[in-house]
Amino acid sequence: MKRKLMLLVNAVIILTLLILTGCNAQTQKSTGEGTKKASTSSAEKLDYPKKPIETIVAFNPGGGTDTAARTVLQFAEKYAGTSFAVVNKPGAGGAIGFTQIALAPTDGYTIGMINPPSLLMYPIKDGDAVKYKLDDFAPIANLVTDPGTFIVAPNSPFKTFQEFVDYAKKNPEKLKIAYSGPGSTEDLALRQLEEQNGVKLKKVPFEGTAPGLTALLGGHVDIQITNASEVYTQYKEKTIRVLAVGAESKIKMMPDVPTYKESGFDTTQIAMRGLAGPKDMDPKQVQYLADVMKKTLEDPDFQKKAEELALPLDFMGPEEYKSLLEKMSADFAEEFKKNPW
Amino acid sequence: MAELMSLLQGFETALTLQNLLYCLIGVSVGMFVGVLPGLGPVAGTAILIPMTYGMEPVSAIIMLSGIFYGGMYGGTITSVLINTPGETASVITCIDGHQMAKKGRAGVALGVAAIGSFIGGVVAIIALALVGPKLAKYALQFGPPEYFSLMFFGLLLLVALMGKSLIKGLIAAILGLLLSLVGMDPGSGAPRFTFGQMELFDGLEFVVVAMGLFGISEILLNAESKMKLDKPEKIKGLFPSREEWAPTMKSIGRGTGIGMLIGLIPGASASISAIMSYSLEKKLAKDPSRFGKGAIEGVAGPETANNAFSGAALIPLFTLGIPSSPTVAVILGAFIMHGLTPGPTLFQNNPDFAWGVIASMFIGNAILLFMNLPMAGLWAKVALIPYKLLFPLILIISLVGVYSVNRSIWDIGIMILFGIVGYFMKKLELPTAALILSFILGQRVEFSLIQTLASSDNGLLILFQRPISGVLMSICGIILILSIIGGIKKKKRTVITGDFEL
Repeated sequence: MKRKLMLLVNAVIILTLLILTGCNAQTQKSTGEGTKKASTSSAEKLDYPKKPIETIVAFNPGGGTDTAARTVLQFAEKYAGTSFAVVNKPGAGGAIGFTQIALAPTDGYTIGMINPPSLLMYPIKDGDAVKYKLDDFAPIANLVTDPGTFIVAPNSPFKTFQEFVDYAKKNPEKLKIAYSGPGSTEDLALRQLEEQNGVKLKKVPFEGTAPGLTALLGGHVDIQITNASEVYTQYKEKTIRVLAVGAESKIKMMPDVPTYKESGFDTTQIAMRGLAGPKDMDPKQVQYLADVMKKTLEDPDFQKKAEELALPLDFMGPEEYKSLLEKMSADFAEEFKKNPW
Repeated sequence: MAELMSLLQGFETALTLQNLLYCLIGVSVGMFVGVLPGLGPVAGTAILIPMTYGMEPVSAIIMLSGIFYGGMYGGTITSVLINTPGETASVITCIDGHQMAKKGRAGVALGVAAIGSFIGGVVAIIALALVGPKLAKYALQFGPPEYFSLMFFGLLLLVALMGKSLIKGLIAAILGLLLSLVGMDPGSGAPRFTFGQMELFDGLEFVVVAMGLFGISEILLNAESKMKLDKPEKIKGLFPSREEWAPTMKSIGRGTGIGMLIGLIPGASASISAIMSYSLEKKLAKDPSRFGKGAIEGVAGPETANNAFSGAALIPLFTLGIPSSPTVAVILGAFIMHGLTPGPTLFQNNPDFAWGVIASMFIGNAILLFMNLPMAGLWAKVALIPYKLLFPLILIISLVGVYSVNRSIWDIGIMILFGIVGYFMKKLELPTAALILSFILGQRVEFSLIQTLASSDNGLLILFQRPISGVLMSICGIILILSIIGGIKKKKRTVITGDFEL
């Protein structure tokens, strides 16, 4: 009698477990049934998409890339005529997820978020250990371009980027700068700064923006280089001062902040987030999804949401995106040959 | 006053139906693993981390910390009723608790333990609520050198306090440090010990390693031992006699103090606080011979201490992001999985989260008090669930769980590997807790050393030039010198001797 009861209890628990797992999968597949009829006429010719599209995100749920992906894809359902199922495949700074995108089935139902320039740097830096190359992807669209930025604490003596550079020039190896570690885009920008302007900084690595920011506010470092979107809240609340941004021209998010180039530092530093599929994906499907993304990024409701999340939107179609990535990759390869990191 | 307002807002978060439910689940699971001999809160939190994957971060941490402090309550019951500690922090309770039960005072022992646990737990949470935010502001003064010296101090204590012998503690701790080296070198970005495996570029995943070391290994270990448990003693009455109240409350007070103090030290564990409280009670007693024969202070003190410990252990986590005990290390793993950075900015950046968790702990302790006072006998029956039914179930939960974190078969393999490693470590009496703590501290110690050196003008000297790190490093030096002298004088075992693990 007792044994039977135990078995029953166990069975119930296992069942609950299975249901829970099932629920999880369900929520990730999200909704989208109701929006089927919204599919455009071009889709009928293409007969795509017929089912939800699995989208690989190479980072943990709740992270910056994940939040961006889930937000964009949620709004994109309306224009895509299907839903997107986000699948997180974190690990090795994104390299594991990127590899999964490159090796994905080419039927157009598995795509993923790519994060250049890290995406481009891994194969250059780690060689054969990384099992993909840029050629293995079919870029679909760029969604977000997040410029780099130099920030200081509000009580810092540096009011402009130029003041910082001048001081650093006169006092080599005096200023401590927080950055995200060797081989990052920030590392690359700092090398260029040191080369171009003849300064020498003490580069202190931090695991991400938040710990570096804590050290900056605690006065343990003098300046920090990071990405604009990650310090947008602090910029608005004026708990930090932004000296310069690494975009081509002034950005909407921080309209009063000059660019690197305007401040006498001739480079750009950007981190991008976009969509790509495996290289043999049908170009028509690529174009279809690119159109969907273009419409999504123009959606006023989405733009409002993007502003809340501090996502600097920047649409690029497949060709434009591909050629930019190829150029960036070639530049990195050259820089690496000159001075491996 | 500002803290009180924030705390009230925290209750707003904690009192939503969903979070109340997770709090209830958390403390129930905590009681469950606490009662079950062989499974403790470390295993409980490690196995259930993957289940929190789809939850809101605040719900996840509410549930996991519920397991942590809930486990401290649960362990008492089996210690008293069947003379088998449900988890290691209650080992010491067996001595006098079970004697009380044999004299027909099981109810009183449990009652006193529950009341003491509640008081200790609540006082520690009040301290977390009051001190936490203030300390967090102060924590901004913690730069890389301070973090380095604090964690170095923790590593040193860890080796001294863990396990039966110093040398075994050292072996386990160094094994953990070695494992922490796997992955990208934070200073140069070069991959180390990855054997060309991309999965190893980020190093070994903490949650996976912890699940193997504490979950799988326990299953293996229990599978081969035939545990026969005695029938639980009967429970009668819950409150001590009138003349016993005064000494009991005094030992509860002392237990609270000791537990909170030990909780602040990185590298300590709940069982250490319980043992220290027990020996203090014995020393202070007018008639020490009563101990071992059912002294009420020998139950009240340690049981209070281990609960005060679990509340206080969250203070260094919330303010500095440093785990002080193995279970807190697992909770830190959950923080990271949910994209939260525990540390000085937690109270500022995620006030809803921080205060929500704190508020939930008040609620959780109240639930536990209720669960323990009238329902203790029911819980004791849980310990009698046959293992052949229970452990396959836990194995399934672990395997499904670890896969769901990253959806990778690799992780399952790593978890099983560390399950086997943990099994042999336990056979050889190497403390797995020392391995897991030095594994998580090792990565941070190395990183902060690199940061210290990168920002220093004169190499390692900076560690002694700054006041906070200077003091900490000096204490480290004194401990080292004392233990070397002690080692030469006689073959000293660890700071705390006795038959305790974890």
